[in-house]
Amino acid sequence: MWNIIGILFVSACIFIIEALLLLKHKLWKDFIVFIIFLFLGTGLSIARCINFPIPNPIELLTWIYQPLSEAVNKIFQ
Amino acid sequence: MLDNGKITANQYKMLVLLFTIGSSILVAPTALVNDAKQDAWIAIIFTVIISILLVLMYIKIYSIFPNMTLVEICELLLGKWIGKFAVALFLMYAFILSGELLREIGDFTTTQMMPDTPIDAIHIVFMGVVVMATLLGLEVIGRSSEIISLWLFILLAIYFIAILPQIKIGNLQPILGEGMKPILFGFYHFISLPYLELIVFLMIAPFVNHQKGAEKGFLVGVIIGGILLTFVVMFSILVLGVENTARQIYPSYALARKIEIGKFFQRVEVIMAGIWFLSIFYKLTISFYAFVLGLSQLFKIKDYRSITLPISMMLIVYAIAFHPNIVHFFEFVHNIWPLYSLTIGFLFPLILLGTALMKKRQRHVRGNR
Repeated sequence: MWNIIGILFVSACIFIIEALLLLKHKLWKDFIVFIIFLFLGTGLSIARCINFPIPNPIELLTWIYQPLSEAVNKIFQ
Repeated sequence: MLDNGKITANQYKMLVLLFTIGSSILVAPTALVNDAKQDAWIAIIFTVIISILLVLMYIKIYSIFPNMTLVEICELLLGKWIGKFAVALFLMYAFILSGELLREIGDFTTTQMMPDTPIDAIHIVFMGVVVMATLLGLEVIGRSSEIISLWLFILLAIYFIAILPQIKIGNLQPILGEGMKPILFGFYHFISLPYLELIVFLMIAPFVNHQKGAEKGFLVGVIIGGILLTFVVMFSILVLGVENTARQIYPSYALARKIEIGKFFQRVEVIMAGIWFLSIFYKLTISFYAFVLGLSQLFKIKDYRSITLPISMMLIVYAIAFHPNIVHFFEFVHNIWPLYSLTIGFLFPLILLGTALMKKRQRHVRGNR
């Protein structure tokens, strides 16, 4: 519980530091991209805290390259 | 173009050097010795020579587009949608590279130095420094690298001189006992670990204030880095021997433990840890900077600084989530990473270079009519 509150606190701090500056300069596009990544970052952190499975690019890479890797290892051994 | 400041050719050279030795200086001997046994030193010299050709290809791309980052080159050459897709692939590479480096720092610190500290705490603290450097910009990173590299050279000199009395030449024999195949296997692993990752430098090359200097600095930095790595691998074999080196996870650290001069100058392995922390800090900062800058150019936003903090949150999560344990990490680095690196670090720039040369020729033909 406390770690989720901690994450939300950090996200709020990041929001206050960056978003106010972006809004002051009226950079709408920057603001939207910033909000999307802040949501992603916060969501992923909370998902990790409650052990919720998150998408892992390493598994995708392993799936793509596994056959090739086995072939290469066979050549060299 | 975003306002990122300019760095000098010398600072660029130091960054390339730190990037080349960062992380590899600690773990390279094990991977190489596992593949090539006592011929690892031949494999590394061979790799350093081939890496020069690789860097010449990167320099060629840079010299065609001296004022553009890799992301802009991609969108110019491959069109809007294919370009954006290629950029996304490259950015994923930079992100995974940053995550792996952060994980490496966490793993090393928790296994060798602070076994009771949770790995997240180390990641968060280290990432804090990297985010600070990224927010301050490339100029600050470049200038600090000049100061740090002086200390790095002093520490490396102490390390190399202190280990000299322990050398046993017999460890190198027999030379070429198992033919060329193991050497090629070592080459295949070693070129992917520091050298193909150098592609992220195409993201910061346009911010060097002098084009010819940048080209020369890139080459010189890679060569000096290669020589330093060659020394480390050679000393590992000469002092620890093949069997012992292959069994270590962090051979250079184990090597530093062997230093003992007159029962007084001993237990100085922290010198090696210092060298490694300094160099991997720059490697992580550069790949993280390249990722954040590339992302901001992909979305065409004004300043990369606003997305740096949210991205660092994602990176801290993924540094843990990428691999469930250290064995999975080493399996990935050994089997999948070389092929992935070859795709992004060799095939991808080769396609870009081919397209660029073809377009240039077309324009030339059209211009003659």
